[in-house]
Amino acid sequence: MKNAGKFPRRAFLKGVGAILSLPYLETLGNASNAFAATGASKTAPRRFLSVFQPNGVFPKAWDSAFAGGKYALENSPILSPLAHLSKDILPISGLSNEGTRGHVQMTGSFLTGVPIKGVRNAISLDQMIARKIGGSTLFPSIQLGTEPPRQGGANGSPISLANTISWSSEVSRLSPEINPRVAFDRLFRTPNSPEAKQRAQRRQSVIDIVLDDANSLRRKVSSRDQNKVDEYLDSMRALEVQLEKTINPPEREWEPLDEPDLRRPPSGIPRERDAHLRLMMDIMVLALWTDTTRVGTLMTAHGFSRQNFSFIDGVNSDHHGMSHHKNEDDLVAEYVAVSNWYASQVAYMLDRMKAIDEGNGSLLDNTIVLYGSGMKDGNGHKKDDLPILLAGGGNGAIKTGRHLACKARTPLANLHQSLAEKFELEDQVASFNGVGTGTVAV
Amino acid sequence: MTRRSIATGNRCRISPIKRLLQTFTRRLGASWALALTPLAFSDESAEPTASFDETLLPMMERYCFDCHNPDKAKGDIDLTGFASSEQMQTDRGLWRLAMDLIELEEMPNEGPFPSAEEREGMIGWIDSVVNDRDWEKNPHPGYVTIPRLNKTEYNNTMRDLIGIDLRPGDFFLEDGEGQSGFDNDRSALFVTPSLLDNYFQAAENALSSVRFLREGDPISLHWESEDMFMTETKSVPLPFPNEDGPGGYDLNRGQMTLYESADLPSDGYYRFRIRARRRGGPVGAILRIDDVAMGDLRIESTETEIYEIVALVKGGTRQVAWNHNTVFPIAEKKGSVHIDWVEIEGPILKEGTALRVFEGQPEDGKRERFVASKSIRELGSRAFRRPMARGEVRKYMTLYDRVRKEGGDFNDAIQEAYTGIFVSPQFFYRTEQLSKRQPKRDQAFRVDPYAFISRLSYFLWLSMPDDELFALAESKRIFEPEVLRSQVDRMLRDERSRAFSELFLGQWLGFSPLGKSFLPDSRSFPEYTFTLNRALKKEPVLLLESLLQEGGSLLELLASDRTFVNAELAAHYGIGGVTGDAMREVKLEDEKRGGLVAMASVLTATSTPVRTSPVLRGVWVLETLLGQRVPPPPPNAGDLPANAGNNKAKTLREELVQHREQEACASCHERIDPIGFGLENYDAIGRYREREGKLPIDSLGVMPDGSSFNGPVEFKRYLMTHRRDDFARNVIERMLSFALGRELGVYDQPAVKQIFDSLESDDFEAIRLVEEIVSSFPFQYHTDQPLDSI
Repeated sequence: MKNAGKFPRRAFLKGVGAILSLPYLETLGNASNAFAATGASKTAPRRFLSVFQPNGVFPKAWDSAFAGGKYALENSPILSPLAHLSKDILPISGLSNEGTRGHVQMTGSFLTGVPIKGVRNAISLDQMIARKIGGSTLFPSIQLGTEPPRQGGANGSPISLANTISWSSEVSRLSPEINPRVAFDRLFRTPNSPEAKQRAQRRQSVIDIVLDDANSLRRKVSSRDQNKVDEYLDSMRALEVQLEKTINPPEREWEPLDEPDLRRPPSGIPRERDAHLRLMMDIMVLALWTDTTRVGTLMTAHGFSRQNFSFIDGVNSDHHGMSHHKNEDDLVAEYVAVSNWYASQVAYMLDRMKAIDEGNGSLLDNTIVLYGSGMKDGNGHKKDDLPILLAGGGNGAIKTGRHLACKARTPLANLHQSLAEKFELEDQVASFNGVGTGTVAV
Repeated sequence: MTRRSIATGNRCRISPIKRLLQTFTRRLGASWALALTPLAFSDESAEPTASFDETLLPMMERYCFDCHNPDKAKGDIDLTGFASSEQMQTDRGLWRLAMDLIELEEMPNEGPFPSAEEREGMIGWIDSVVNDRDWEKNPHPGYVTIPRLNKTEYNNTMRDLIGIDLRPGDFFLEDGEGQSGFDNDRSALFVTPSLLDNYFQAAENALSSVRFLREGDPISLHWESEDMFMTETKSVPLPFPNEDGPGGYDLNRGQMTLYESADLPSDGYYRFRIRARRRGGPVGAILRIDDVAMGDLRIESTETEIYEIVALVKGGTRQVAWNHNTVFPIAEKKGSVHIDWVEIEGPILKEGTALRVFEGQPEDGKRERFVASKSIRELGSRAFRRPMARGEVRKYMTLYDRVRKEGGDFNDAIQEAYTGIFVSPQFFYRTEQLSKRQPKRDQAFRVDPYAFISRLSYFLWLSMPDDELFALAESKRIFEPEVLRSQVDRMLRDERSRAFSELFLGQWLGFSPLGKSFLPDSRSFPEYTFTLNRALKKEPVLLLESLLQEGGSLLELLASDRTFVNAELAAHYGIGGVTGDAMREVKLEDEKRGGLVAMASVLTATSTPVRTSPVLRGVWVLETLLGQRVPPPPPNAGDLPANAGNNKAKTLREELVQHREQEACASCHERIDPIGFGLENYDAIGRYREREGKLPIDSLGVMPDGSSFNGPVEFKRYLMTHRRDDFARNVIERMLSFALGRELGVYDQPAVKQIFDSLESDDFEAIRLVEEIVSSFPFQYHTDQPLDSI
């Protein structure tokens, strides 16, 4: 008897699955398989990626990229690794991290514009964008990094808060995943794996039995308690619809033109810092390329990092230590060398993005990349004239290949306001987190 | 007769009574304060003389009759036909609906609108009429909706079902507290799609873990500390090995995090070892997994030794980190932890663990289905907490058969059926309706023996019954008074009853959040350590446990000549001669300690993070300890500034006295503040003090009735002499409410009174309270009729 009831219900659910995927098919106007081949009829989506570098930079070494009104990245001992990408880059000067002090606050405010108080911050730019466009992809946003949260406190806040720039609400921070294998599995293996599908199918057959159980229970209880059983029945049916989506996932809105190389990283965290960071960058690029997510943040290190860089010639100190250089030549040289190393890693990532063709430009063209630090000179935790640059350009959204000088002490939030508008968030964002005073001409 | 429920002297904290008191005090033109006076609760209270015509009628004329009259009869309701409270009682359902709608401010839905005070007046009046009944003659066991296991009950039940404490429900969202103030309150336990998804995941995780223990290969990892990751790379490993010791990192401050990622094959218990030594003063080490503290060690020796923490960990890739930790006593010169190596081993089966699933295995593939159905019936009967019917076994066997047909092995197929059992509503709902002789729906009936042993075990163990209880249900002997008494005794002595003492006390007294969502300010109180927090939360739990296991009077909760401390808590209290981290009983030499009001858990939970609060403490004593209602402050009352008490020229008391000179505040604060003053000798983390800054503490409290006490010792005597009965009645009500998983109602008063009388004649023996509760009418009976249908 119960088996007799099983088939019609399941058949109905399949129907639901088909209806759910209909809107996608309609937009495509084509069968899903043909879509990848006829991708030209559809443009690749716009993405947002923010890459954070801790501990600030030596001001002169950064600023020489646009000193005297001449935009030339090769003139900067920090930004020279990005010189060949200068047409894709827009350094912005004059932005200020007003009202913040210390590493925890100056990291926390990088995408929120407001300082952390105790354990409270505000929602960050990436999360605002994710709320707007995140529904179209498997993950609304992803956060990757290379260092675990450090313990201890600074200025009344836990140092651990500075391990991320992504905040989904004023009290919820999204900690980055630092293990390449774990990040890869979560993004590319678990959701669509044969194991996941098998598990969903098994759950469905279990559900058939327990629904039957619930129905016989329902007959035995008083009419009031039937409400309680109905709560169970309704919830179980809702769960079934979710399982159906795992078994027959809806088509993606955007498929990459070329087959991505989804090679699983080895287990464990690489010993070498550049190997580790590049692996995380590879995963980030893959996630954006495959439209697994459209929003990401990448912490090149913890916001209050004490990583050792002795693998770079001439460097002996830890990054935080050298950032308090007191203008001593040796320490300044080390500090600049480390900033240059970070810029090289970013160049590696941007090169990869530029090499991926999406029909209407490259992945880099379709992504707005925000790179920089929450403080200028680490020596004194300077909050004005932040080292910030945009790369890529969201297919014409950003005018790169030049230097943009904002009025001194322009709130950092004004840049966020401008970027939010590129994702059609102007309705929601009147004054960015209540601290923005306008926009900047990106 | 609308006054009986007051006139019979109910002192319960339940809402109908609360409302009633508010209404009467208002109606009599008295101030809010009357609700607080003992008078209002006692037999001598002035009976309200106001009649229906003088009170409800004028308000109804103004606010209701415009629509609910014979001509318009909006919503088919005409209220003009009720001319007395007796007539209102002929349609209690209608008036309960009216009460709800007025309270929700859905009615009146057109102007004129009643003031908040008038609204409460109407509610209180209607309430007093519709709930006026002689509950002794019309017993009502209270209606509870089908209880769902809460998170704690789920974890414990899974532990007892599968035989290992894997806490598979730890990732569920917290259950909210219901009206009763306890998180086992049935009214607050819902089921949602994501909860069911969680049940699936929890069952799958738990079952795979057990199978890994039976079938898989445990891992064994060894890392030299100098090869591990270190966040503070400015710090380099010690340049050993040499004659001074082995190599490795020396952790000398909190930030230094020594970490590595580990692939753990399944959820389970793992052994985390370090070979380490102490350099310098006292020091500890703390293990963090994925940034969550999993356990801490005291590094005793300056010679390298092996230290071990066994922790329950989720399978998968985890960040395993070791940090330096401060330990008691805090030394001037802190030590450092020098770690030579780190090891991980597991999953392990802890000693004394007996797995209870995947036990039966077919021999040479013979009689497979017979073995399978036996396994399913065995687990199903325990999971559903009653014998599984044959038809049910067959149902779950179809899951087994399907997986076998698809090529899964015997255990795969059994696992599928087990998963089904763990997501069945018969498992996580505690149904009580399954006796074969269906009693008449319209009257209360005694629950069947299986439902009864579940009531018992979820009350005292927050878990399922064990085999002994099942046997007594099968023979129906559990209802024999002697058998029941000896079972209660056995259950209280079982270690599973720790869950009861902890949750009941923690949620009743309000110290559960200590160390979680509430912490004293670390700059003002650096002495309030993680380990002190742990010790002081155990103190009241151990006292209650001792009372319930070894006997003793509940009044020891008010004042006692003993308490439970370890070295750190003893030092906190200024008690000498206690060493070691383990909690133990001590005889007290003076009366500064002993009893709940002298415990650091209560004293800290009733302070602000930076200072004491005589108001919070006073309200806590009245409401939580004695069960009296304290009205909320008027909206414009204001608080003392957070830094009050930092004023060098004035004590906190003086500031508070000044603050409440307003008349509106004084009437309540007259009753609240003296109690708080009496406890001012304890600071915000419960240390005893004679002075606040340079000024001596004035701990004289004078109650409005003239009784007074100077300091905590006299205050405890005041509680014993003046407030003993209030306290006892309140403990009875709170524990009964916890046992029933619901807020009490007026109809529970006969049971409360009976328990009180029995306890009073037996020196308030603690065990007697539990015995009386499990023998009481509401605990043994069930009704399908909610009160609002009477």
